[in-house]
Amino acid sequence: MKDFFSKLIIFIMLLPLIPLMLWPFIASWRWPQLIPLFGDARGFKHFFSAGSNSINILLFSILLSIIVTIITLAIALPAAKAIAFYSFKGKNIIKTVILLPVIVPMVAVSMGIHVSFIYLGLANNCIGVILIHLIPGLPYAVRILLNSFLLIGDDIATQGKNLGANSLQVLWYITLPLIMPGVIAASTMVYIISFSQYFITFLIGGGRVVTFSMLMFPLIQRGERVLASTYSIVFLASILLVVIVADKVIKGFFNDSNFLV
Amino acid sequence: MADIKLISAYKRYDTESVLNGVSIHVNNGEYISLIGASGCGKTTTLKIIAGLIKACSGQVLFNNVNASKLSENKSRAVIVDQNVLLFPHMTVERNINFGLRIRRVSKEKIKEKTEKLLEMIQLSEHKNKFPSELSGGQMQRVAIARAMAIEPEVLLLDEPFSKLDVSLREDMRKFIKEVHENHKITIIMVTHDKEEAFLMSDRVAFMDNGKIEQYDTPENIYKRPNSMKVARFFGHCNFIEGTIENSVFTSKLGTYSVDEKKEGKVTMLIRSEQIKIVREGEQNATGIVTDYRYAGEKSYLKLDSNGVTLGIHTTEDIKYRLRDTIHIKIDYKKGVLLW
Amino acid sequence: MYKKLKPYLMLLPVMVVMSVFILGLISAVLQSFGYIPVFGMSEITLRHYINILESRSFLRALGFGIYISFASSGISVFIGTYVAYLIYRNKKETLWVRTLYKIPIAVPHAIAALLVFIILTQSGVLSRIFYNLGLIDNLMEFPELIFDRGGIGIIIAYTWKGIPFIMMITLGILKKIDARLVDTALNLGASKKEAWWQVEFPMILPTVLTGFILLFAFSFGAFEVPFLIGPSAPRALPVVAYIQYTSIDLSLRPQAMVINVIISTISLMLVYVYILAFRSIKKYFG
Repeated sequence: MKDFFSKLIIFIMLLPLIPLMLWPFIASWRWPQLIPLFGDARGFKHFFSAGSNSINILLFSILLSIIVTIITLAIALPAAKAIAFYSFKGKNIIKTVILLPVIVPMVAVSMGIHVSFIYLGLANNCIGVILIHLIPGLPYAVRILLNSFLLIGDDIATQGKNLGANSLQVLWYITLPLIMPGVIAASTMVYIISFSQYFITFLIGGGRVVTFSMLMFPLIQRGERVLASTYSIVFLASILLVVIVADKVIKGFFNDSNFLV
Repeated sequence: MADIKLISAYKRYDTESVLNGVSIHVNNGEYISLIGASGCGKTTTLKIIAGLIKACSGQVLFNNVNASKLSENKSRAVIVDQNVLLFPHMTVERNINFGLRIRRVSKEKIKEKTEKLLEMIQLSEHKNKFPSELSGGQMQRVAIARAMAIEPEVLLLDEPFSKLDVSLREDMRKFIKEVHENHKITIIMVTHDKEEAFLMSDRVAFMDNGKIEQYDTPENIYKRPNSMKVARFFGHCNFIEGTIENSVFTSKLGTYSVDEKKEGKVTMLIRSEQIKIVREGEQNATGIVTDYRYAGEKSYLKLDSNGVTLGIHTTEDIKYRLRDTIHIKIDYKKGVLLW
Repeated sequence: MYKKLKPYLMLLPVMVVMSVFILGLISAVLQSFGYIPVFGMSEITLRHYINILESRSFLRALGFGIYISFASSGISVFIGTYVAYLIYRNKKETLWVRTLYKIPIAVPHAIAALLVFIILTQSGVLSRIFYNLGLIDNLMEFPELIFDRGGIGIIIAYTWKGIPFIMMITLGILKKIDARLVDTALNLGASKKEAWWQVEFPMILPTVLTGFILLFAFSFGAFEVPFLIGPSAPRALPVVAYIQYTSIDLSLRPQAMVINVIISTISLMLVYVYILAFRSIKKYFG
């Protein structure tokens, strides 16, 4: 009975996704019909039409978020390593500061910094958008990588040095392959967070930098169920695709002869 | 307080047979040890008595009452483990009185008992500390107090000191001994340390391959082992093969009259401390040194005596060299005949 | 010398990014006091704080926000921990259950709002089902769950994402509890139920609390969901801040910042509670 209950809850929660997947193909669904009238997939037709420019924007957004992910990981890696293996003054303060964006909302921060960004020429362009996108993902990246480092421990790197490897070799051949699962988890997280951002892109990008989120949001706002559902499905599908591809690429990269001495 | 009987316990896991008919009777208030090599089944036996594992067949009786028939709150066999397993989210005090709180004992009684136990383990000032703030030895003491709080019928200890420092072990052994003496509680301890078993227990049960090979007082199990297996476990053995005819034991090392009517091939067990190094003239055998090891308190020597390898030790500060000839006196009187 | 500096150098990039964050907050504080030189406002005043804190609509929005966050986070915790417990107890649970439940976590809030809209709007899926079951006779009889003053739609959207999130962290922490601790409690005389309430539940509590805080803070400061499916009155605080921020009337800017500062202050208080809970977690799990 209890077993059934848990399955029931999960089933109910996943149900809403069904209508979502149906809407792009609906020609009309008058109330109170239970079954809609299916037509051609006009939602997708609209998406693929040249006029909507949607594919370009989608590709641009994917690229943007990938760049954000790479930079975030590059920043988070040394930070996580420092916290994991070194003791130094102010460690707790720094840990707390890195934690902040998880709990303190970006809304306030982005509105606060907006004027300064304008002043510094960082508004209404990609650089500013990328910069502001770095913030929400960082805490998660640092936390995940920190856990990875702690799990592996310092000893293995020391062991490598003992056997004659220099710092760079230790990093490349020992450390990176070992934290690979953490890198994948962190990258996935940061990518999804960045790709899903609306408000901060909208504010800092000033409408000049258009991401897929910004294309999708007004459709939801206007209640245009066909188009909103279509774009939502494309959104989710693209995330899935990128995550799967990235997983394979990163794993392939690490399994490759790059890492065999 | 209970007298514990385990009758014909069998336990298998898939293809592995862990217990092959273990029967043991522990008297009320007795302190016994289950000892043996890894995998002999001693921990499984303990867990069956504790009720943590169910035997495939066999019975556990507390005061001759089948354990599974006893109501939940009576007759608890509480087990204390080497992993201590204190509740990390409870203070020392709450860990200790956990069992009492579960049993809905009155608040005053709980307070009274907890104070007494804290004094017993000498941790009264630490009662509000959490396990993460305690040392290994302190945690172990809390675990024991927690077990004692519910006044179990029998206290089961599963290699309780193996994770503690050597110096700490002695203190803990003293502590347990005191608990045993003051509370007259029945204790069954699993250990692989024979010195510990001898020091602490009234009787020792040696287990091998899921069976109890010998169950006796420490002195008897050491001086009168009933098999070579048992003998080997409790100390270094010199096995001298020979024959007995007309109450005379004959071996490559000589003859000796024994008080034994049986005749035929036999092995005599001589412990290394039963062979002494003597001056020329006092010996009953000689040997040539084949190995010499210095170990501080004593030195260990291996001798070849007419083809028989003997291991002895000496506390004399003499450096023997290989191929030295040594005169020894074998105390045949203390030897044990194993057929 | 380099040795000592090394960790700080490794942390430099992350602190540079964080300083943008901190500067954003500081800037918001300054602007809330009316200090916006670019606009020609350079006197520090408490005027804007007084305006906001005295304003009825602000207080209503604040109450609304707290209510929404509390309700959605609370329900998520209740249902999430219970379902997680059921899954944890039932060791035989198949893989698909353990993976499928995580899906809503990856779905962004905007799409969650869309889902709520599709299902719960008066012309939505649920109302059609109700009609066909004979529960209502026409469209208007279906209750207003979107754009309503009760914020039901918003709560459902947050809860839809919140339950799997809580499930995930609860299962994560339940796995970490040494099973032998439960055995020990049983050996000392506890029943299975007592073992749960005395041992397992208190041990997961700090973790569940951190989950509650994360959900609360996020929903409290989030813009998208209330903007998409929230009522026009009362509005959620971030929406109010946004409206004032984008107003043509620049003198409203400091007011927007006051709201931002209030949102951030409440969040910072939550950070403090979060850290305390985290310490307990470390204590229990080493």
